[in-house]
Amino acid sequence: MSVKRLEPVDVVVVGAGLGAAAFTRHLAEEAPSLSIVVLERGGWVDRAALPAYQADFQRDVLGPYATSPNVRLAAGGIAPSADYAIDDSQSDFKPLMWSGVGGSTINWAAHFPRFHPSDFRTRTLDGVGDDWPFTYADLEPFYDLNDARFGIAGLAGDPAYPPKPQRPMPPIALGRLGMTAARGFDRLGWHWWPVDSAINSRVHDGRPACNHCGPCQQGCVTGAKASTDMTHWPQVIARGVEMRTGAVVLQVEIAAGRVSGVTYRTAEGDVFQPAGTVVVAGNGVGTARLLLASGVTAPALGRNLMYHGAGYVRGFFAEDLDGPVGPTGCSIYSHEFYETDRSRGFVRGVHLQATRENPLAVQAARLARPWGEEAHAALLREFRRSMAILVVNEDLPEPENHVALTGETAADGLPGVKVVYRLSDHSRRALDFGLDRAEEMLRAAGAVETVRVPLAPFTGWHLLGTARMGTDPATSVTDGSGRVHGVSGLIVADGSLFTTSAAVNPGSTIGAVATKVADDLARAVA
Amino acid sequence: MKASFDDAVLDTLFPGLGAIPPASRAGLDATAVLTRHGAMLTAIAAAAGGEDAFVAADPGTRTVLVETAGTAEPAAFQALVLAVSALYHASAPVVEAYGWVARAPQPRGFAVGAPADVAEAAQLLEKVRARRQIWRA
Repeated sequence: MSVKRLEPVDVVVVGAGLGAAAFTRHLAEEAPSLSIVVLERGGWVDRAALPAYQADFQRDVLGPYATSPNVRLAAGGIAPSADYAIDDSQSDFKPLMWSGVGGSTINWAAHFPRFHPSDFRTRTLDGVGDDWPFTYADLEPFYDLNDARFGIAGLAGDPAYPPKPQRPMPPIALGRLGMTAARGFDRLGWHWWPVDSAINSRVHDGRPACNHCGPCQQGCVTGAKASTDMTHWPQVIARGVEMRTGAVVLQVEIAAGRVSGVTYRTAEGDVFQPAGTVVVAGNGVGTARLLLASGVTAPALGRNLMYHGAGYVRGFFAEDLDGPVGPTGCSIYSHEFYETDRSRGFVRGVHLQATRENPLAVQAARLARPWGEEAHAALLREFRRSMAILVVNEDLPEPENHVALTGETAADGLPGVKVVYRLSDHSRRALDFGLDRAEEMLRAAGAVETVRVPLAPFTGWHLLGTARMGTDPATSVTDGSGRVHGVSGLIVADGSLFTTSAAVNPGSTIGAVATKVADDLARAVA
Repeated sequence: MKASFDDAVLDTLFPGLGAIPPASRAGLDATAVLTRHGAMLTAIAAAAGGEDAFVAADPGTRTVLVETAGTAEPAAFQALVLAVSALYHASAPVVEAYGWVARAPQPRGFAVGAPADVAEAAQLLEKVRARRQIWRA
């Protein structure tokens, strides 16, 4: 097959998700003379076609609009997300993502916490993981910039963090569920705070306020929830950046230690796009897959996959707690146990997060025995009266947890990919501690019964660490500016870069780090 | 006999309870799901000694037969259960019987929160604010 060769550009960005959007928006603003092309394997979401406009939307939640690409593929796929199969049979958590313009911001919960300062210095402070090549203070201006670009609803003054700028919108309404959880934390004297949400609680930046419809993770039909197809790409394209969708990058072309461009596949054929700089932002699975397929030989590439350990405790209450409405992941959280206390038997900490209820069909699917009369009895007891406290722990980098190629060619033309991940003993201890605290809080809040779910496999949103930053090429893939060791012109700009995972959702930090990486590049080419 | 057998399996998986209708009377279009999971239905019929025998059995016996077939083929059985469950629990009669509204979430959305929440939350947060710094430098 012949490969069409295009005119060279300065920068090619692979992917159009959170990291790619944050990177490209900042680079386009700071270095406007650069010619930039974005290659995205999927397409644009048609908001009018999203499930929330359908009365039977619940069927899509468990099928073509499931959060797992493997489940979507099994249900026949959904056009805007150009999903690829991931062999997750050897992984305790199942990778979740969206492969289209906006990436996983299309179906994320938009819970937007920052890392703590200690999260960047785990080796120095606690003797585990590794220190990042920069500190919270170094990243802080990029957090602020990233917050402003996404638009954050929240409340300043949280003593769990260094001071943050005033949020432009108040927190998302807590509702019965959030208030019940708040009273529970309060009775125990524990920290709690309304989450930072990348969801409008008021009209903001041309987008409406959230009307609490519920199914955030099947895409926001009103645009109240930030996703980069609205918050970033239109602005970037207006600056002259070219977005090509339906473009599956097969290879980063590398010769004599520097990139020359990328080869990608379209419906019309294969194309070579020459470029001086190639920026890969396909998440911790997709980035590792592409770099491995391109012959990048860094020993740490694909290693140290971190998801975050996650389990939860469900509390059943006598009273109604709103039902399946409101943003699923955006209510309140507690960092009472976030920082290290060695008396607990582990280092680092846990994040506790009140999560809202799911639609009836999703609740039903999670029952221990999901059929027969018992299922009705269980569902009648819990529907509209349950609250889950999600426990997230800091997943430490371990080389044996990894992304690898399968050795076979997948349907998209790239090598197949698999994830190998086992929850560590350290994570198990931390999660068990957190689950104990979650039970304690739910009882304090008035739960009449609790059910413990020690491991939550379908929480694999956070695909981190497989092209980690560092100073030593033996143990890291890039430097602190996202530049791949030993390959000139090759940059990574997504969660793959994370040296450690912290114990909170990574979206805010992915955006801040990608913005910093873009800033470093803009300064280098100035 | 096929339609009766399908209904009998559906009603064994999701029988009625009080105001909650059984699956065969919940308005489901389960044809595609039952076709896709035909092998599991065949296994259930085989456990009973045929479709007729399954239909003729009392509800308690049907439950045991379904359980027996499901134990032998756990993955296939779980797939059948979850596929039917998704249809059943998304159907309007069932959603309403569980006390929820059977309408699309949009464009109306839902109201969340009471007017007094903001003041109460602010009051509770005063205690948290008073702790000043709990992050580690």
